[in-house]
Amino acid sequence: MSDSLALGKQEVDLSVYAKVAAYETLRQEGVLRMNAGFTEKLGMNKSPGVSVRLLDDGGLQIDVSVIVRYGTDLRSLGPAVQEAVLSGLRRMSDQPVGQINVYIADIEFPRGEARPAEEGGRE
Amino acid sequence: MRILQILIQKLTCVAVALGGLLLLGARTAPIKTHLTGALSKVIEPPNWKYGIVIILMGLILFVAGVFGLLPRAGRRKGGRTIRFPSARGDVVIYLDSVEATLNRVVGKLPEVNRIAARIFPVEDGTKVRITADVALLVPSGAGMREVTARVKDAIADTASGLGMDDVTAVDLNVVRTLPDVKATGIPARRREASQAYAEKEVSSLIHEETTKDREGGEESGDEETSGPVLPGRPLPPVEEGGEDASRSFGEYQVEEEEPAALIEEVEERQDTEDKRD
Repeated sequence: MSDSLALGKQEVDLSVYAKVAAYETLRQEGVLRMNAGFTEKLGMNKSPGVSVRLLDDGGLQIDVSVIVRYGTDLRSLGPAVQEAVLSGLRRMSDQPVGQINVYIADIEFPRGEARPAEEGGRE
Repeated sequence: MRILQILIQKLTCVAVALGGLLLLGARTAPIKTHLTGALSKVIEPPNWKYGIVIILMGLILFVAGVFGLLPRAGRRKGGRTIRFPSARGDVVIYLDSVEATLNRVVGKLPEVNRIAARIFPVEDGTKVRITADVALLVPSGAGMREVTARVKDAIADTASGLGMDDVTAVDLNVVRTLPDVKATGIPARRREASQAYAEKEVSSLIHEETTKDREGGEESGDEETSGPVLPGRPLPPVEEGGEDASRSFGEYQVEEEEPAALIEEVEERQDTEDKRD
């Protein structure tokens, strides 16, 4: 993304938005980690689990793929992530955001934590 | 089907990558020396007028093939999903992971021996329907309807806890029922029953002996040839080493065999599951 200014040009790489999105996503309660693929684990992507595209109308389309902790309400997590990513991007940039899609790829039981069913109850 | 699809895709990628490598090798030393012989039958390198084009094609094919071989990065494209659209974008939940979690959590219930739950998106993928094949452990005294209702509720609750609020139906297929050994305490009951039976047998024998003694002991000589006779069940005479020796208490064993085998199977399965967990 580039903006023409009087003194020159300002360019913001899409990976910057991806990094912001990943940071805000990981701050959400219930998100264990981003869902990074093999190539992303190899370091071919700076922000694993996030892909950012520029739409035709100039807005950003951000796809966030996450792995969540068991017990998290998946339906409320999605909007929470969307809201957090949006506010994070708005704090740093005026770039319009078209869509923030949240992909909940997996649910994990954190190690060391007792599972609800083993305690004899359910959440 | 999905595995076959992936396999074909990967094989195609291997073929493409190898094709690219062959094209590159035909123009590059030292691979050139090894491959020229094989390639000369298909194409003739000295006659190439557009060598650079071939090299580029080889490079593109090789890179495309290798890229295709790498596992997919980031979000998964395939798989069943449930999608919650909103003004900001979609929230997509992959049902495979929810299914696995559901099976894991509900499988821990004491009433459930084994469960295979499947979640199907309905109504344009905004709601779900859950179908579960379960093998139930039914405690004695508990009705099947009661147990299935509990399991059904547990499935719905777990799904709800995972964000599947719009569950249209939970279909429970009970594929097998097993007696819950731990809950019913069958071994203990069996021990008690055997003990009671043994006591009854002994007391009846004592009673028999006492009656015989009172009658004057005229039939005392028969004791050597005939064994203890249970009231109402005359047994055939026992011959040493004969078939009748093993058959003499057959009626009692047959009654005990089936539940015992079943109980052992259940105990083994529960032990295995406990170890696995």
